[in-house]
Amino acid sequence: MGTTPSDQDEFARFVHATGIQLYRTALLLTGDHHLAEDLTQTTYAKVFASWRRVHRAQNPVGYARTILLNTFLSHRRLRRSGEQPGRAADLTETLAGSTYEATSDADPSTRVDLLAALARLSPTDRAVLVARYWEDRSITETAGDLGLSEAAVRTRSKRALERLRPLVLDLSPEGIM
Amino acid sequence: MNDLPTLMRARVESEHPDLFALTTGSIRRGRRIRHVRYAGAALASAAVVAGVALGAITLAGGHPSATEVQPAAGQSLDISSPAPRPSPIPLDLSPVTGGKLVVPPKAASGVHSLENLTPMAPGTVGPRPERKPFRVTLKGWTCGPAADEKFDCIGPTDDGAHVVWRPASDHADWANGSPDKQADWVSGVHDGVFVTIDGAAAQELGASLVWK
Repeated sequence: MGTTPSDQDEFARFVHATGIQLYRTALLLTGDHHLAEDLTQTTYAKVFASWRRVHRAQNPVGYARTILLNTFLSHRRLRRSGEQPGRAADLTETLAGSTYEATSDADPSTRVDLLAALARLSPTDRAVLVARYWEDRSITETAGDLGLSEAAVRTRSKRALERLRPLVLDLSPEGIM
Repeated sequence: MNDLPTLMRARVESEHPDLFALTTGSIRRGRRIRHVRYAGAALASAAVVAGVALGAITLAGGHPSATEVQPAAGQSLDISSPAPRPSPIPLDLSPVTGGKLVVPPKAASGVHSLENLTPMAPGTVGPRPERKPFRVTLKGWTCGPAADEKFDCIGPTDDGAHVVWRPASDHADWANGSPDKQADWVSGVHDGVFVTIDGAAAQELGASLVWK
């Protein structure tokens, strides 16, 4: 089943409508601009490969978000199994080594602290925080997105916030107000 | 003091991807994924057809005593001559028009199936398929063939999982979570092996395993 020019136009509109949010999610997950671009493009490539099915779905944005999270976690797992060379290796090295470089105009102290602190969490814990506090997903939705139990989401979220708090200067004790 | 959502927004609000490059790159890579997917489906279909044909040939030639000799089209069978001896090579791959495929009695009883075919003889072209000691039955997931006691599965949203079966002697390390031996899901031991699964739906996949 191929795609028509009309399909491509619709897909392009979809990317333009959702690309910024998805890219920012990827940036929070990876902590690196190049890896975030790669993760976002991989996600949209998978979406395009199934575009007609995705387009008919009730929530294409949710579908793309789930693919993004699972692709991010799959890269980490395949790397751990030693079976996915290439970009995944870069991703893991970046996550482990916190090789983030600040390049935007936001407050440098906040910026470095937040992304560097996120990079010190496990990828799954980071995905939980990003889903809960950036994507504003409920515990039930986060559990469904990540294939975890609700109890696991609660535990990971609490533990990740506890680890994050001493690393992020401006973070309120509750994590969320 | 700020809450985490506020800090996250402050950090990334000035970040803007190149949406045009993102769109064109995604379409290019998406087409490649689709081609690979279709090629894989075509290969799988061809493999199934080849497997069925091989199975039929093996069943027909595996029991010389059950072989019926039928004249090919345009030939007559001389019943006055001595009965033909079974060929030491049971497979006759020359084209025969109007020939008849004879199924040995065992197969006629329904005992034979592709699952029960004996391994191919050494020297046979192509890798020998590896039998999985279990099946993954989670709805919407498709698993590839096993090699080196591992295989990958793909879910309905294109997310993947990696499944490995391992000797029971390693189970304690994996169950206790040694630093270099961790998986998202670890089974109990069955018939000398256990299974580890890494992937987004590892728990659900693990729960769906049916041991053979």
